[in-house]
Amino acid sequence: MTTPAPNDLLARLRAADELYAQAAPDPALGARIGARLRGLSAEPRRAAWTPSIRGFGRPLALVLTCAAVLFLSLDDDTPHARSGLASPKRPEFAADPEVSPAAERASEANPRAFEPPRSPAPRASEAQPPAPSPSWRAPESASPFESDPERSRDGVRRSPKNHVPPGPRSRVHTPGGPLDQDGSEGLVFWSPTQALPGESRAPTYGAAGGDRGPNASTPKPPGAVDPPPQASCATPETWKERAELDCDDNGLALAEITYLDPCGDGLFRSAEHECAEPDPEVNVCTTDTVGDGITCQDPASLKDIAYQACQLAGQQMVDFQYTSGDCGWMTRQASYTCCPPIVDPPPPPPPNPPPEVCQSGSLGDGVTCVDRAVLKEQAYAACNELGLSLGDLQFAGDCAVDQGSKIGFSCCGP
Amino acid sequence: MMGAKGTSFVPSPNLAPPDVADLLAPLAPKRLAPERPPPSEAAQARAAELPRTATPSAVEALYRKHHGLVYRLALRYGKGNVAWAEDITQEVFIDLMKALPELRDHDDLAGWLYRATTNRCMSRLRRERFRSLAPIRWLFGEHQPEPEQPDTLVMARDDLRRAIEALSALPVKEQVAFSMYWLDGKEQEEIGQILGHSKGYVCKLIQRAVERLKKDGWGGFP
Repeated sequence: MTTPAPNDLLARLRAADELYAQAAPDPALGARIGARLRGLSAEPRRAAWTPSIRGFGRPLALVLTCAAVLFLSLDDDTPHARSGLASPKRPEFAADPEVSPAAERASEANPRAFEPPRSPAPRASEAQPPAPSPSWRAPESASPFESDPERSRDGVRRSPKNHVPPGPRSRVHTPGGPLDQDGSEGLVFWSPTQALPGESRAPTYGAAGGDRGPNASTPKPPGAVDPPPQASCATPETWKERAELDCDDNGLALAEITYLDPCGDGLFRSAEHECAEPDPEVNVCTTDTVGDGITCQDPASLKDIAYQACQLAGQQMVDFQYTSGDCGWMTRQASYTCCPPIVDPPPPPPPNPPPEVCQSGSLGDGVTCVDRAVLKEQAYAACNELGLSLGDLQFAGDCAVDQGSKIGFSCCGP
Repeated sequence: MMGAKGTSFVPSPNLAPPDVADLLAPLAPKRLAPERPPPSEAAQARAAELPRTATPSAVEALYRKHHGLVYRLALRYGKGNVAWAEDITQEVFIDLMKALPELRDHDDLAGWLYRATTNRCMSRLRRERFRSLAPIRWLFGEHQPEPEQPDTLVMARDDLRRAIEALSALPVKEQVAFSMYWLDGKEQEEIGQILGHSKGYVCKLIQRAVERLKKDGWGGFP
């Protein structure tokens, strides 16, 4: 017997077959087959097509999942309008704070949904207006229950964005909203403004069970707070005061305010305002006093001091008032106001001043030397009697330094 | 050439047990022609061994007589896996019981068993290959198949184990066609009839199998 080559496959396979041929099956196999055959002959023949579903769980689940996804995608794309099932487009209403947020989210998540499920409108007796937000603006007047009959008739709708004042705005501010607490600093703000309490009230929105629901898709400015179902009418002054308070709360100054939604009698239902960071170099005027309030001083010198103080601050003195005048023509204290110089626009030319009336006079005999202050006080009193102001002073006389024998003065006035 | 085997080819004498040699005789009429009984006598013998009715006892009798052929083929294609071979054997004889009423003297029981066993093995091998694919395993929630236990019959010999693994690495159809042609001495036409393919396709299957095996370093092909 020869040994096959190491790579002789057929020889090895035949040798393996020889071993297989020598192997006898387990005697129990014959018994099992016999039992199986007897059982097979005893039981009724099963339908050949009866399948066993064991082991088909996952394929079945996969098929069902695919079918469900396909069905949903087809259902989502099915245009209802094509089949005539779409209801006519409803008018847009302001967002209702009572609307379920889940429904609103569903509407946003599936923009193609025509008619998301809507909750029934509350009855008038059950409609509880939510607590007014610190800042809100009245909803748009597209509601059939719009309180403004004129706007309802002409159908004019105004988008909130249309009324946003132009100009750079770095953020939207809603007083009392979450943006108030974030501490971020923006240069310019705008916010809806709410009327102060106690103002007149507009008819309640949706009180009669209007068809409002989560499908309200009125575009809102980002961050705007849903308004309460009630709108307040207020005067422009009230709106402005409210806006100024709002701006002050943020350390800003009211830059611009727009009154919206007139509701008759010069009242407005809402307003938008813009807050701007004040420029201290431009907008701030300072008021201060000169003089210690005790010593009688020359008003001219106090005025000079005040003028120089304003100049040092880069401003102009716009006002100068004597506050204490029991020193005769002198004063103990004066208040003055410095304001930034007005560069642009140039101030209009001042109106022609009324012609100034001046009268001249003199006091003293020219011989007796009198204290100059006494002479000046006499001149001041003389001008006061004429209803004029003391103008020019000239002392004369061969006297000591602080004395004079005669004083010439002029009293001027409009 | 693959389809022109020399007339001097003689299957290994130990390929089948002695009692199966008679059963295999009709399968290779050309090569075993000198040992084959006259057709009329063979037909009468085959008709005599077939039971009249497909009763369990009759099938059990046939099992006791022919289980060697079925079990050997099942062990070959099952790489010596005894459990695998027993399952195939059981299935084949259950099939025999179902098909027995239609098997009369016009048919050849050994040939039927050979065909049935081969097809059973091939179907099971293909199913196992398919289910061993990773996506299918995931789909059916099956884990990575454990490595098969070494065959106690042949795995003790490393050379036999390598040869069996090389054969098992072939595609199922090529593996079966190669085995039927080179180990069982079947003609390509007969192989085609059993597998349901044309002779040309069977020739191509065998050629591909030989090329793969040669590429793996195996030889011994005439």
